[in-house]
Amino acid sequence: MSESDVKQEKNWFTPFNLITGVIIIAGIIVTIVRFSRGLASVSNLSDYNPWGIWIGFDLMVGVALAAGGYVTSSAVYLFGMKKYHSAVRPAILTGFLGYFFVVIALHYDIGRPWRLPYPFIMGWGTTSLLFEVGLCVALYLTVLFLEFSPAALEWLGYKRTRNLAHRLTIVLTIFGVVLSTLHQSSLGALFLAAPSKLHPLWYSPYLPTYFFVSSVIAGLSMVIFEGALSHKAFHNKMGKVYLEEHDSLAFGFARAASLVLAGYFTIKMVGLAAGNNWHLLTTGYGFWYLFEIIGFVLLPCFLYAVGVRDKNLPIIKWTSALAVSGIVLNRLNVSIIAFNWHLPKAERYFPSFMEIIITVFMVTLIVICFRFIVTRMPIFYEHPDYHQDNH
Amino acid sequence: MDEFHTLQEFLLHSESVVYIIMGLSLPLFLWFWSFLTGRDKEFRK
Repeated sequence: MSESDVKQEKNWFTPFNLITGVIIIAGIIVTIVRFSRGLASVSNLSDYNPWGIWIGFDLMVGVALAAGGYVTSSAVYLFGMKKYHSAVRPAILTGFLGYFFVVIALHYDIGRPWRLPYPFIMGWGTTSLLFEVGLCVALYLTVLFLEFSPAALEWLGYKRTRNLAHRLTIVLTIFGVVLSTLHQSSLGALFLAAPSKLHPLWYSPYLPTYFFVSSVIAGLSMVIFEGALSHKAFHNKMGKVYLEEHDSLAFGFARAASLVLAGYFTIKMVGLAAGNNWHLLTTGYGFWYLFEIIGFVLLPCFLYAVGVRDKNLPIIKWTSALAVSGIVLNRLNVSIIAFNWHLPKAERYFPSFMEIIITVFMVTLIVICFRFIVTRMPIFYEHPDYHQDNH
Repeated sequence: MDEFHTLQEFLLHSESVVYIIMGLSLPLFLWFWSFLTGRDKEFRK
């Protein structure tokens, strides 16, 4: 059978294609409605609740889960952990796509896409935390694009440009760490402006520290989680080095995540004690807080530790999913569930069906782009022409 | 809920608890580290 016959017989109606096709069509329809009829026509946002899941999930969770890029690249290039080198490209790609779609999702919330560069051109709001977040995200997205570019340039065959981009690795990694430290913590600092709106169990003067430390947990866990999923979906695209290093990478990152989770739990308790909010633990919100802390901080901390001790890879993979869910829950708690907690039930926010469609649309687009790139570019394997350069 | 009449009383109480937590966390971290790395030698053999 010739190659053209094989191509002709390729079945486009696979379950993956059908599901993603339906989501994309729904996403495009809601996008048209949102940009032609305005925010109110597709969302449940109001003056009381100006931020919904497009900020709480798409932005807050998206930025946290994209932290794998700076965590992995700093571990490898700044702390010299060369044994994790094969994880850098998948992590940078996840980070790049995460941030890129954070910016895309932001357009749905703020509208008028052509005005996005206004803060950097028309007026510098240097006293605003949102300005700092916006500037850092814009710069870090550029840094991630440059960090990712060697893989794309290798695929395209532009050797000289690729070598030039490769030489910038250390500088870009340092920029990445600085910018991530700034904006990951500033996302938490945004809520310092609303102490009366955020429930006291989640509000703390240490919110910037919480957001930054939990972003490290998100980054480490996301690398393990994404590695586990990729292992199943793209096993045939993985090079020998990646496959050899995969287990030790999961154990190393799980050990680090376990330690950071223990530290995160400690500073959460310090925050609770500093606010003297112990009595709130016996309220409804208190039980929800304990559910988050015990189920998604202490439990993954313990399970990661057991997984590392016993060299049990399945436990570590499942725990990474638990830790990632914990980050999602934490960001939703801070930005939506425990926010405006004093409002009467009728005034509380719940996302509309169309808001959820856009969020699912964004996640689907990330998966499609990830799949498109890893099946074409040298992400899970080393390009044979550049084998020496990567070590 | 504890009753505090002055900021000084509140800070004395809350900061004291913070110091106790920090004091307890240090030996707990050492224990946790030994738990985490306890079987490393076994697997290296």
